[in-house]
Amino acid sequence: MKRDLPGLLPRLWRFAMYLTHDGHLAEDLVQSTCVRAIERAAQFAAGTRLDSWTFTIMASVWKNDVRASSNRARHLRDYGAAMADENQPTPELGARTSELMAAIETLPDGQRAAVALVYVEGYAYKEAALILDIPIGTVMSRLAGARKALAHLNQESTQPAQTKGGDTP
Amino acid sequence: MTNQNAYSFSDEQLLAYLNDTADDGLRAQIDEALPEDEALQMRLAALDPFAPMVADASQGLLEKAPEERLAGMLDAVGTDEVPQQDVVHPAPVRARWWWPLAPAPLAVALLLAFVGGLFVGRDLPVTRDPFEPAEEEQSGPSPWIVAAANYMKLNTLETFTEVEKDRATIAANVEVASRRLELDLTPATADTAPLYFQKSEILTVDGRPLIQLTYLHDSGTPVALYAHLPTPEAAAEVQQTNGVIGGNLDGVNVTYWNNPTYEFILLGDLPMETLTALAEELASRLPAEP
Repeated sequence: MKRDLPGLLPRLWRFAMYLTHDGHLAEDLVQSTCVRAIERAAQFAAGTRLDSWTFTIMASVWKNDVRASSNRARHLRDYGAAMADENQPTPELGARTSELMAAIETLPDGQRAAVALVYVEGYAYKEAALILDIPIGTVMSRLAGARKALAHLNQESTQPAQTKGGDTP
Repeated sequence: MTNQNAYSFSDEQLLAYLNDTADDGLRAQIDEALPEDEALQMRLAALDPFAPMVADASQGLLEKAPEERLAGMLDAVGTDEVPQQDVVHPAPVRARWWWPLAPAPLAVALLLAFVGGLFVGRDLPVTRDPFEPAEEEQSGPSPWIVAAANYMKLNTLETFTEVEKDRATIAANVEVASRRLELDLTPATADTAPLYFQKSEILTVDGRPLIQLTYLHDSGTPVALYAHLPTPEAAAEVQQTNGVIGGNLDGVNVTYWNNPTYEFILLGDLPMETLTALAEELASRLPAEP
């Protein structure tokens, strides 16, 4: 188990970033997820997808252990010397990305999780539903809510996207 | 069961659904068909205009992942490959010793009750009770205490005891923590029965350092010391306790002491007399000032 987890760490961290929108809380969440995954390694069914399994664990940890307390503990941060805010989604990611990330941060927890799994991680609706332990219809309604909230960004990006083809070298 | 299938809907209809412009009838048909129709799910996913936009934006975030630090974290957490005898004083205590029976909301409520008036230890002779809500946070206790308590909830016995085996690395981590806290924590890390130091961790609450030192007691009980450096202004509001005071939170004993610069809590599922003695011992070892 421990040998297979390193390759998933960046994706787990990114999903944690979507859930927590705090670089340091995200690392705490990744750590808790890895601990649970290692503890429950015997429950992992060989031949199934490890990424889905660990994402399910992270969603569960977030839902049951972290989210309820995160509002009050949101400033709890891992502070190591090398842990400056360079890992936060700062403007260096690009104004467009920052704008989108900022908009996603404002979404309710459930919508943000659905967006992260379906749009970012590329999971099918059904897989996202399994990971979040909710009906597929709930995934769809959460995505619909997110699309509605992010609609203005899509409208802004549609115009340049339509004219971009001719500029491609 | 539905009579619809993926090819009953045109791309235009599916786009209308995605863009929330479909009429109620069409929306209901798609909603009905969706759970069982994987082809429909795939078509919708492929047509969703937000997917590429969000995915592209998120690629930059993926590249920002602190891979080296995450890998180091993974090395430091429990492993299914390390023999149990490497753990100092292992004991078959429950894995989630902090609020072992309470779901998180109840645990928080219990904490609030604890700090809000059910503290059964000595009265706190302070102008601002360290366990009482800060002025701007009437519904809860001091944020750093809540943060420490919540952080404990993330730990299991395994995370407490599976530590870096290299003592030099452990010592180096303590040095870094000491520098961050501006207080030499080394005296509190000496392995002296009945408390055996495990590891240090550097946290912050509201931008202020909060250092966690974890120990295992001879009984196999995890114990954690949290040392907090408040702002000088906040520290000035806390009256000195003139020693260690204690109370009980959901079955877990907690001790608290402070000095003009720092605040400390020691948590552990030990008898109050035992925990207080340990706290007094640690307090005597730690320097009072930077």
